[in-house]
Amino acid sequence: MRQYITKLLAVLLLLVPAKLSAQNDTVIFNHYDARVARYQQRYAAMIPKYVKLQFAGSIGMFSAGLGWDYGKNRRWETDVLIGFVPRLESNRAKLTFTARECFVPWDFPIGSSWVSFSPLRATAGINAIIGHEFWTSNPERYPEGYYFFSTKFHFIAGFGQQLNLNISYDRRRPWKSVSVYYNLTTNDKYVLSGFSNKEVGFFDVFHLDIGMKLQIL
Amino acid sequence: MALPLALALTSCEEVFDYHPYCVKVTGRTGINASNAAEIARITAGRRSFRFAFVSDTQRWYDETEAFVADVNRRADIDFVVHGGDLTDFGVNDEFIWQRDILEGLRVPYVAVIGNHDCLGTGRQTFSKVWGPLNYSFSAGDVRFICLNTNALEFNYSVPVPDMAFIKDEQTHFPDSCNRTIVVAHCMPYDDPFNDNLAEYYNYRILSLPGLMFHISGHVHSMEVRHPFDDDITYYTTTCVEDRAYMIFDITEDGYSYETVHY
Repeated sequence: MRQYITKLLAVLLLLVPAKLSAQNDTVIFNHYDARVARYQQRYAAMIPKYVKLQFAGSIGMFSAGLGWDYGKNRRWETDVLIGFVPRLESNRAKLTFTARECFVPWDFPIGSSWVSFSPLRATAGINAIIGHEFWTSNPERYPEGYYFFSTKFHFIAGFGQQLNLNISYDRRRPWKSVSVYYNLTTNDKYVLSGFSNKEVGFFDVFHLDIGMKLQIL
Repeated sequence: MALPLALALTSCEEVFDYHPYCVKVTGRTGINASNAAEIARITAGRRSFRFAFVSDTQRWYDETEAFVADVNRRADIDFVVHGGDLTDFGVNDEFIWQRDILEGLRVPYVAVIGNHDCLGTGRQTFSKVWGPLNYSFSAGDVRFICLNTNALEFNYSVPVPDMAFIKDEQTHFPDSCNRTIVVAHCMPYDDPFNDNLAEYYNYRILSLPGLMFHISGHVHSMEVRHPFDDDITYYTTTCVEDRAYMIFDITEDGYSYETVHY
């Protein structure tokens, strides 16, 4: 009987991914434990890695959200943000949602190893504004194809730079690292307006936004 | 890092953009009311004057600038009427860019709202920059009734065109005037017009004292129409992409018009 159990355990261990048993350092007893471990690991990978805060950028006056960085040296970032558009001269304040991809190809240490500079960040994304006056495609009342664009959605794209501060392990309180960035961002509607018009200049089409990335994981 | 930042901060009054549909107006507002007062002042006591009619300047900023230059070059125009569609998307900055170009006119101008100007928060931005969507003013002895006729954009939530407004204009017609010109972005049977009201609209404006004609834009072509087989002539002017506008020469006993290409 004892021999039988040993054999069974050996077989089970072979089935469990080597990486998993090495990482968790737990004794795997059966398929279920392995499944739970994989399941938790998969969901753990979905935990947002950072918080982002931004001012301006065609997605709201203030935006806040979460994101994930991944890929080689974690140079790719996917953000989901909620933006606040103030009332100002309109009827009411509005909320927007943004899904955005950022790419930060380089960072160079400056001075100490704790500070680095990223000379380029490139962003692209899509924004949706919430409100009855905005539509995705023409409401039924319009003749077919009346307006070629959506008033609810707009695409954003931008480029900028960022400064990164890595916090040493013993000094970390809430954050592992903090980055501050600026972008020059535009959107499809401004690009179309600027296109073939000398009257509409570069800084009519591109606008400044500033933000910060607070790294948790 | 400092260079693009410094450039951005110095070369543009609106450095930050919150959202294309954020209604954020800096600079001149309430343009129609103050310019209408100026038009009334310069044409006071006259029975003849000339005005330019331009329309549909959306996203043709260079052509709009060329139009302004052409009007400024001439000495024979008293004021300008814009037939709407200043914007394509109804986006805040489009209105501001157009306003800043039209502010270059040496003569006063007024604008009516176009269907594109109603999109998103556009109608709110238009109201802020130019004023109420229905309004009137006097030039010499002619009363200009300027109307929002873009019914399709208002989903029947408000009366468009506002017949009560037109009737009220008729009731309170100023003593200094005895002729009328109606200005709108679109005319009966154009897409944004409420066709169910087309004949009543025609009847209503025909009741205005000494109605001379109706002018509108929207169709992007120069046309002279008589949709109801009566005396009312509906003129349409083209978009500025065609680098053209109309001039109406109002005389003591009538009017004439010409098309200008620039």
